[in-house]
Amino acid sequence: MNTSLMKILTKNVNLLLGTIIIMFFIVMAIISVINIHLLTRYNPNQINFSEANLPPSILHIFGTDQEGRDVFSRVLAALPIDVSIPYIIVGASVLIGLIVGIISGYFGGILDEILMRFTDIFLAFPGILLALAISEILGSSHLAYRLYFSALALIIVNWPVYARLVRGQVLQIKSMTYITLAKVAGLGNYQIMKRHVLPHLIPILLVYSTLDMGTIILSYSILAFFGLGAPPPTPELGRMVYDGLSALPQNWWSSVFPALVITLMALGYSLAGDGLRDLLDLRS
Amino acid sequence: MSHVTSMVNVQNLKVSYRIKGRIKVAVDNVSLNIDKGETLGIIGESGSGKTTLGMALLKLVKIDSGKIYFKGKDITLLKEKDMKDIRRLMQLVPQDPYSSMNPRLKIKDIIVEPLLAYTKSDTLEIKEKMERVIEQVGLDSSVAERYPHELSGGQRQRVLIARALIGDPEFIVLDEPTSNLDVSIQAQILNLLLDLQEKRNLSYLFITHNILVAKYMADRIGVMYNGKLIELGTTKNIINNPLHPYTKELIESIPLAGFKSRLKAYNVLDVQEPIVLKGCVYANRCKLAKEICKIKPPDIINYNNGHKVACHLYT
Amino acid sequence: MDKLLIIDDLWISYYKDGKKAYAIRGLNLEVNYNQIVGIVGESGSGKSTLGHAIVGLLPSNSRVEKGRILFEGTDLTKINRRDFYRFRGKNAIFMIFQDPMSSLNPTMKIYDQLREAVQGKRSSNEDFSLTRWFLGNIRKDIIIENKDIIEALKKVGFKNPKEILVKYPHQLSGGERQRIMIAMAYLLKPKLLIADEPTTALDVVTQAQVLKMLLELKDEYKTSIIFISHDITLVSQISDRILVMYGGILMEDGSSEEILKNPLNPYTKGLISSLPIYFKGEGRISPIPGFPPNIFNLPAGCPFHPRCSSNMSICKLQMPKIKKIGESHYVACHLYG
Repeated sequence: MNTSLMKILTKNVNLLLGTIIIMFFIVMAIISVINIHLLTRYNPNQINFSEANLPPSILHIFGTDQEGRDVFSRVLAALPIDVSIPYIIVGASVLIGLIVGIISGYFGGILDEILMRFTDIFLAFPGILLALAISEILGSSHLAYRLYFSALALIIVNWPVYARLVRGQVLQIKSMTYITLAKVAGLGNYQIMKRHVLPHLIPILLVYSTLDMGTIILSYSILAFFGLGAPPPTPELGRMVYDGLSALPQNWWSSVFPALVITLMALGYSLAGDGLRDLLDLRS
Repeated sequence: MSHVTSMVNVQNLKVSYRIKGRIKVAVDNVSLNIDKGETLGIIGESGSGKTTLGMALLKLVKIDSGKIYFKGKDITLLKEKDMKDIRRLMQLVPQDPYSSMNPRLKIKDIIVEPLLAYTKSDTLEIKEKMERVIEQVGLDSSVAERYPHELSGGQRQRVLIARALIGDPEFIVLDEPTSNLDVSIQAQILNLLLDLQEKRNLSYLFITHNILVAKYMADRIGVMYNGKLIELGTTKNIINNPLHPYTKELIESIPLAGFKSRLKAYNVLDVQEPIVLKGCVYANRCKLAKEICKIKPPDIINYNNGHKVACHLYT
Repeated sequence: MDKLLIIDDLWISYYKDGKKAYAIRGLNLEVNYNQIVGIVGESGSGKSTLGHAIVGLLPSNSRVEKGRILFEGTDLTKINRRDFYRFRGKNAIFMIFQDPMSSLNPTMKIYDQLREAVQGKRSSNEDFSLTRWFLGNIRKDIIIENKDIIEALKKVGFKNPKEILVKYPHQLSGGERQRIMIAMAYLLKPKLLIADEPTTALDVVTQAQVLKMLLELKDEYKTSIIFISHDITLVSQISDRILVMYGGILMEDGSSEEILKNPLNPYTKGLISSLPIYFKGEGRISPIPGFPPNIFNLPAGCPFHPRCSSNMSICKLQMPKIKKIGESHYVACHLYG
């Protein structure tokens, strides 16, 4: 098993590179949660005006921000949230989309019509704006839970895409003669779904969701940017970019490094997703 | 033709579906009977409804009206969950050997699928049945581990036949099973189907557009045109003594002896005009059409000893 | 030069996944003016490759390795792609396929396509529409006016040609599209028409219609037709001569009557005995055992020997050479010398 995994990874540069980046950040996030001081000596929330606005140096790899906090430590402290939230968002979107898509596509009829109109409504909204609106409305009174409402908003906006995707695939499969034959064979709907539909969907969902992770990371960062993420002083990459804006142009590092980290994470998923797509397409 | 020896009995079957807002009647008031051990051939052009008829007999499409009896039992209104035991006895060999198989599954999984509805998992018994049926269709046992794309058209067709047989059915609908195959392979498959029928006393509904194949395989033939069963009779009668003008046209169009001279007498037919809603479905193409043909659709009548035809020439 | 088309020792190779195979090996064939020649074969026979080679439509992974295709004296294999289609337009070789959908531009109305086909327009090699293949300096002596197009459509059975002209290909049925292609042939008046399984996808009544139209085309314009099909009875009914191909080589060549009455090559015999001619219960046909060949995995010697009941030891070693047996009856088989 290990050797074939290695073979797959080495043949496909995108996948390899992407996986390395993803794993890197996950590992960093885990270490950050267990004991951030394994990686940095500073307290991410320690304000120290005497150390403010220091450029990147050996002592402060990413420099310090306007309040004297070490940017590198803040980035590390932000990782657990910024790494895990996208998984929650995408995971939930996929799950909801999968259920709706299968029911809609497989059973058709009135149910399909209703579900699809419902889906259409959500699809019609520009994602970020809707997420902003939902997050504002829901989170305005509970600052501490804002980040969850933001995540929820993104889930609400994102699941319809999966529903459409799944439904389209299910419809395509349904038209295949082997489904007709399975019915002739006496197989029940559940058996048909398990045997024919799901195995076909999984690779596609895998590729799509991996690519989606990149987009969601960016989307969530934007929401965090507007203050709809974790409440301060908990560090968050998107918010850090915002906070650092007022210090520009002299103190560029407190905005740029968090932004770079966001970009790199998104890139990792993008590469991995492309790699997966090539891999899976070539095989079948 | 009583219900006792009858395998499949259909009465006044009507199947229609919606397409682009209009309603198309695919099977229009068709009645027929298939006895145990016999092959009923259905011939017709594409769009004649022959495939839909086959699907309807297997309860794979929604039936508008009419009745279907299987081994004497009325299955018309049976729900899917009650159909399970009957499904084992009626099977399908479909037309397209390409989309008929899930490309992700191995051949062995494809063949045993009909058994999975009844037995839980990969038992030894299932394995033995699979090996036996692979042998019966003339395939090498090594195909079991292969994937569909590794097989030729003829091999795939044999796999589909093996799959249809594994549950020991009594009735099989074969929808153009050899249309995509080379002539030499077609001959092998046809003989295989005849052998299997003899050995297992199977009943076939054999759908084809190739009249010579129908002649070789069928005891009786039904001719369909635009959803209607326009003639039905023994193969000998249909081929040697066709009654309906359309059947005659079909027989004459077969490229056999004297074809070239027959062609000389042909007139390049006008391309089909849209179907007249009233009257006989063939009226606007029929050289012998009379006034009544455009007004009233002909009923199917028993012309002579089981040879039935729906045409005003004979009423 | 009496002959319209002479194919001389033609070898065509085919590459796939880095492997090389021969689709056609050492083929010799002659087509007279005003003659219908049928080419019969199953999968792997090379019959389709032959048709494509004559009109210069070989795919990019296939080429003529050896031999000549002489059309009225000019070797078509020596002409480069660009000149070919101009040349072809001028001397009128036309081809119709099993699926006319691939020859018709789905975004153009029928009228435009018919006009384009005959008036000719210079187009680049990257055109996706096969109708453009037959353009170029098409016979300037013909002035195609609308009425010619109307006439051609009437000849192929459209009673209201004006209705058809404004339609798009996808609005027509398969049989109708094939009629359009024949209408195109009427307008082009080719000297040689290659029909590659033109009726395979059609029902038997439409098939008869198409055949009738092809015969009329031949009678009226003395067009020679190469009719490629897997159906030997069909081919025998309209062709003057039949060529039987298997595994890329010519197995037998003779007049239609000779081939049916007196087939010499065991493969030809096998083909004929594979036809379902009996009534049920009155006899069994004798199919050829085994599978059609895969050109990447051809046996040595005669490609048919693994399936041949008259298999001799020499058949495994040497490819049979074509020999003349009767008046215009040729066969390639070790049974005959």
